[in-house]
Amino acid sequence: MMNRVAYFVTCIIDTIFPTIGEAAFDVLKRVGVKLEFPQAQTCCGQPAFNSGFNQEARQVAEHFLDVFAGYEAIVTPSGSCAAMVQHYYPELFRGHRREAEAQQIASRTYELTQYLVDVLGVTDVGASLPRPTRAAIHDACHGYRGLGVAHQPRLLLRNVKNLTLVEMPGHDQCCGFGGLFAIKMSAISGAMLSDKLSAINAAECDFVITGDASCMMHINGGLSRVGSNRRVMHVAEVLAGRAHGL
Amino acid sequence: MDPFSRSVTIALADIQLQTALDRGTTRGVNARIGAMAETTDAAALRHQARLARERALNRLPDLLEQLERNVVANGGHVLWARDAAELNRVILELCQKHSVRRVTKGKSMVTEESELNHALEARGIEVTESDLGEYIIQLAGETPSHIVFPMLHKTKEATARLLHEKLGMPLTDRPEEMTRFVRNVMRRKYLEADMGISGVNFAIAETGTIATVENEGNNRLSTSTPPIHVAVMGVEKVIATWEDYAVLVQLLARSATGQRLSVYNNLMSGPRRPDEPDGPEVFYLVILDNGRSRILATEYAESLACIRCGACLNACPVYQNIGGHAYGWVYPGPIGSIVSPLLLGPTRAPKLPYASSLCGACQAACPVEIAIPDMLLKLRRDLVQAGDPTPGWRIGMKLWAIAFKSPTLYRLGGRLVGWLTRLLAGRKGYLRRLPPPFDGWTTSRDFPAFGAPSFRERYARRVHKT
Amino acid sequence: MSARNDILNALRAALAKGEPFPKADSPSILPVTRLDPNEDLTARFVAEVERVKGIVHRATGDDDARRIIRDLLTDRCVRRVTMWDEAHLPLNGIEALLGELGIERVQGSNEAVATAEAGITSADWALASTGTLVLSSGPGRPRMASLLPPVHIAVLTEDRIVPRLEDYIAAQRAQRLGVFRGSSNVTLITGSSRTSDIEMHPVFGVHGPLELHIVLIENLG
Repeated sequence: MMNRVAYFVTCIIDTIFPTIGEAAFDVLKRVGVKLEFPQAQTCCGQPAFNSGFNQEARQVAEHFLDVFAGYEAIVTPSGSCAAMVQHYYPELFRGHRREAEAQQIASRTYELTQYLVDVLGVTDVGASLPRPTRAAIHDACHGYRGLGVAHQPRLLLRNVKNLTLVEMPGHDQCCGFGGLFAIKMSAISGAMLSDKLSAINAAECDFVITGDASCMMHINGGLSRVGSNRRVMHVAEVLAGRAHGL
Repeated sequence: MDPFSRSVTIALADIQLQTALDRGTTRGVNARIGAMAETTDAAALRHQARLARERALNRLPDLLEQLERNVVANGGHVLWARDAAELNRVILELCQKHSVRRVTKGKSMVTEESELNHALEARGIEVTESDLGEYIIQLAGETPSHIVFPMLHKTKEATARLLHEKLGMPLTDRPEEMTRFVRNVMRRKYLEADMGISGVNFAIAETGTIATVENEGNNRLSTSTPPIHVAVMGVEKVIATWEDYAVLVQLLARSATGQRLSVYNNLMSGPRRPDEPDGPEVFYLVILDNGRSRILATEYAESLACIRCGACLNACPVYQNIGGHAYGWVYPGPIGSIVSPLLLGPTRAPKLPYASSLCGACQAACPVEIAIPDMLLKLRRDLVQAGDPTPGWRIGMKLWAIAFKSPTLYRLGGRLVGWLTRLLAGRKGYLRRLPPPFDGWTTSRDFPAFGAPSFRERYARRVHKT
Repeated sequence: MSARNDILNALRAALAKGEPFPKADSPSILPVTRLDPNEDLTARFVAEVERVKGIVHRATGDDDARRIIRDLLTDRCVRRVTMWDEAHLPLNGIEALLGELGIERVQGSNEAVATAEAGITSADWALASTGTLVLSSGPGRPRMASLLPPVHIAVLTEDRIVPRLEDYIAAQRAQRLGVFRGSSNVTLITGSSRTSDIEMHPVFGVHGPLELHIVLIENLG
């Protein structure tokens, strides 16, 4: 059973942003990972967990345990979903009959750039963009503070040809997404988003890169609303050399 | 609209407040980051400080008894109060006993819990807050909006107008002139006061010493000038050793204001000794529970480790946008969203645990490593168990779980919703409006049409091809 | 039942199921501020005091120190001074100096002391890495001398400088923490009274002294 690596695409990327799913999958394949896609996978359970619905979250998380049992590693292009499994599964299953399983799965789950750099030791995936481009990074909260994903994407992106990274003020400031927070507390979330949009519009770059599709969806939704042409792209798209609209 | 949402709406529309918050929190965050970075080892120190607090909480009743013994040995008196009402009663009795007519106060958050000023004023006792910010707030008839910077919500312009209107200060936009003006007003108050009331930052059990932390000198004046000093502390403020004090007081200064040490760290062990020339003749320490013993027994015990530095407030993007008053009670910001429901009971502050994007900036800023997001999640869980959210959300979550634990339902549901979003989004690829209960999203952002086909369908095709 | 017993019982009941935080027994040993072991303590102390808007006057000896104090008092046209007894200052002749300058020494009630335009004290210790003075109260050592007057002059010899707060605590530990039992008040003073309450904009000179002068007397030999 060893050496099998599972790809957890996440529900948001699977359904809303399938091309990001392909991009991350292709990057992992390109560096030689024997990647499998367990087709019964759905979601890690975070939407319910973040809203306090632990019972419902556990039902979906149990399905996750079923699907991803027996893999050496589980890799996902989302800091947030990886943090849910790494950090909160042991908590969610505390005292539960499947606690040991949850702890095992937690210790084997990685965010994409974390897996590439920390586990595989890869810092150059051989990507290049069609022409010289400047991009700023938005460090998505759960990956950045929850998992310490900060240097990994920077290492990988610095080796993408034709890409220059610039640092953006407030790069680690939350965009205001927070799952249902954006809906239940939409006024506060909207104010946070507005701060983020100002920072992005002021940054001297062609686009912004982030590691979470949910934050990307949130910020791009805001940019679309205010009529800005700037866009946020997922780190996997850039590492796959696919920078749409360039 | 519920009270919290109403306050948020008002706060977000208040341009002056937004200006003040922006200036203040930015300075606060930068000061802390710089001051923590130049220590010997910020991560190790935060852990050391955390352990100092844990050690104290583990032995809380023993340490309080030791503290009491030592305060008495130093010539002081120790009084206890189970709740806010009893705290006010105890202090009023002291005022009566000593015929107190004028009180000056150093900064104290616990007396905000009991609204002590109102209780004293109702008995005709003049109370003057002596901290510059607290004094201005008192003049304005407001409450503090920040643990360390009580008037963070006020711009200098608004402050000048207030001092002009209430006390006849010539108008100025220079904080230096406003400060000098208040200094002169306050001088008389200290000398005329019959009693000084202060808070407590740390109480060091092994010598019965009360430590306060301040920059202005008002706390020293309030605790040294009047003949009676009453210090008020929550039970959680006691610490075991002077070595623990050394690390905690330094991390407090660095986290709160970016200073290496605050200007005045006052260490008070009982009243003046018979041969000492000045200082209070009588010293009382009042120890307040007010719900803290209840918290100690729960998985929220680590919230009692808080040293009230305010770093989580400055760092929090929610606080940065709504300010302190919107939180509705004494303790604002991320730590307030935990402490308020715990101290008041969950139904008194049902929105606060949700007022966070769980971004973790608070935890990263906390000098004693309090896992604030984790506790917010647990409070949400408790609220759900107590039946808080509307039936609609409850049914929605149940249906969500049924769909998301079944690959078939998940796939079919995804196709259906995806088809709908594409239908409604049209060529631009974005929806301008979502139906309830998701309409909150589209108040300030568009929602993307789902991609087609889904990743799993693309994957299936790829496998099929090879 | 008394409030005291109710509270202590409630806390004991809360801990009955076991300590909430296991493994919290390692003592605090890592000092907070960075300090090079070869660093010159006096230089560091002076630099730190200046950072927090205090002024250090280096004196080559007692005569020089008295000259500095005389200048400070005459430059400010000081008429009244409150001070620690000379027995608690590291140099004598201050009372004589006041007499010579026609300056009145005020003491006793707070009202009287509040009329002083300068306060003269010493300090038990100074902490180099934070620019801090440590003052303990006691007979002949009023708290008000460092608090009420707009100008605070602290006189001490260089050998009073220790590296950090942690070293000061360790020294008190070696003395069985006697100072915290014997003095009703120990104050750590780091710079001039200040506030950042108005928009977090720093302003110096609030309720405490507006000026802090430290007269640092060089060690003999």
